[in-house]
Amino acid sequence: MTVDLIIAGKRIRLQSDDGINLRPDDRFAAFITANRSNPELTIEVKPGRALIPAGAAKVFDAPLLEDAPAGPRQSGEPFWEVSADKEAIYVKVSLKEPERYPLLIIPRGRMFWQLFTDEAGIETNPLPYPLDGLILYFLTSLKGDIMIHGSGIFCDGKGWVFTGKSGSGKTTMAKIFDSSGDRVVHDDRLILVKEDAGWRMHSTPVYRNDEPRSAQVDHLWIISHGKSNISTPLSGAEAAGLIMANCIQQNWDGEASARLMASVSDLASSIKVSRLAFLPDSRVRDYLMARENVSAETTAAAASSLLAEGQEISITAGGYSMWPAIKPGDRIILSPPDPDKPLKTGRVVALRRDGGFVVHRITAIQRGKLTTFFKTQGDASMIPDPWTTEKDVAGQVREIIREDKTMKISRRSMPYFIGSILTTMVKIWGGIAHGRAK
Amino acid sequence: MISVSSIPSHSPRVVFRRINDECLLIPLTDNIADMDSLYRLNESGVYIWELIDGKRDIRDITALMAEEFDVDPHEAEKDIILFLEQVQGFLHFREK
Repeated sequence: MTVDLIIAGKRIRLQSDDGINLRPDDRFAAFITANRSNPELTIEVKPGRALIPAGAAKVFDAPLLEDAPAGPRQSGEPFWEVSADKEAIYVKVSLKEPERYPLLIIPRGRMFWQLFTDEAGIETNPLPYPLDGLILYFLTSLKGDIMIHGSGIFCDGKGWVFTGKSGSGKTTMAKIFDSSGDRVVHDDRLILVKEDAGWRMHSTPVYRNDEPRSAQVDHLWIISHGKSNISTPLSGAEAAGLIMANCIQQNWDGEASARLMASVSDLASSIKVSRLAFLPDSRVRDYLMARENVSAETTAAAASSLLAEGQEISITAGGYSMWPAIKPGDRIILSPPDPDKPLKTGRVVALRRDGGFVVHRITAIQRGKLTTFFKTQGDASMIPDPWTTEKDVAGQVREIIREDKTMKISRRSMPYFIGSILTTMVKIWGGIAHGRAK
Repeated sequence: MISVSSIPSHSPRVVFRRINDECLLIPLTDNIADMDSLYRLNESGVYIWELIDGKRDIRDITALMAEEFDVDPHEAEKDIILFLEQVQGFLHFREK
């Protein structure tokens, strides 16, 4: 018998010998397809019991958690475990009522897996909880996809993922949007997949009536309950680190961790990521819609108009071109240009470019009769910007705020030769350390 | 608690800007405009925002809005209070 499933866009085929009926749980009903195209993964399902080879080492152990008044606690009983040897990865699950120990065998480098369900008889459930989630985990991990604890919604043409630790409000958030008539992709677990048009979120079968749903991902919010609705943009390593902390992952396999880290870094640089403290009612939906729909061009135009009126503004740095003086996520305080204090070489300024701002350092100035020309460059850029005029300078950086600390920006970039001396020293030190190790 | 007799006025800690047909509220933190915390107003939000003058109470604003948009005053009052709650960080309220 053959059962074909499509989960998160992945085609999975379960197949058994003649005479053995495959009966997945109800929650898979809407994910089963009659289309018999070539699957990405085939799992051969056998009703008998198999044992982990004696030479395989246990690499991950997940004991059963039980509910207690103070929160979940370890019951001391086994739930599932992962073992590995050179040939394969072995996932053993401990089930009760009736007691059985299904074993999933994932031969390395092959998309043809074996599952021994440890059931007698002619009918078998190939995907009992938590085996289904484990199969999806290993499949997403191998494909470079991201499995994340989170709720996902599609509102006003935008796809938003809300993630956070347990109790942060992921389900609450899904309910708020659901009651406003928005499409909820899922309220508990999502698989994020990089597709041709960008990152997309997919539902997975968790509850009885789940069905395949998906939406583009525009913004990912790390949520927590707060006293008001406040969002703060995140970028770079901080954004990636916070997303990573909410991904479903097993930390025993270095290659899998590296793949996940690469995918999360790509995600964090492709979509917007923010921290969001929220009040659990419909106002957060209005807040997010009001925030989300302001374009970068409008924000830059508003910033320019405020600076032109003498108002200081703050923006968040998004790139690495001024590293290490300005890092992604730094809050940059911009002062309006002061006609009494002409700009000097070494100052860092915000230039209007492509409907937004570029914050770079002035490297040369040429004062003409009518106009002053500036040459600028990012401290970390190899190539200088084209010459600009003072009309393009929206403001200058007064200070930056990094992790709640206010910092003045240096007047000079680190000269290139110091950078190269440091690199050489690191290389020499590395050589010495290496020599010692020998 | 916002009631129909509350008189809202604009907080000095926010600036209102109309840019390319979009109306924005931009909060000021330590007198620095925070461009990462913009709030966009829709058409009715702008209408209410511009009626707030520190003299009209919510009853007055409701009456003007119900007339302008030809809506039921009760519905308008509910919507106005909901809106004012959303932007209450940008407003001061006093009672008559």
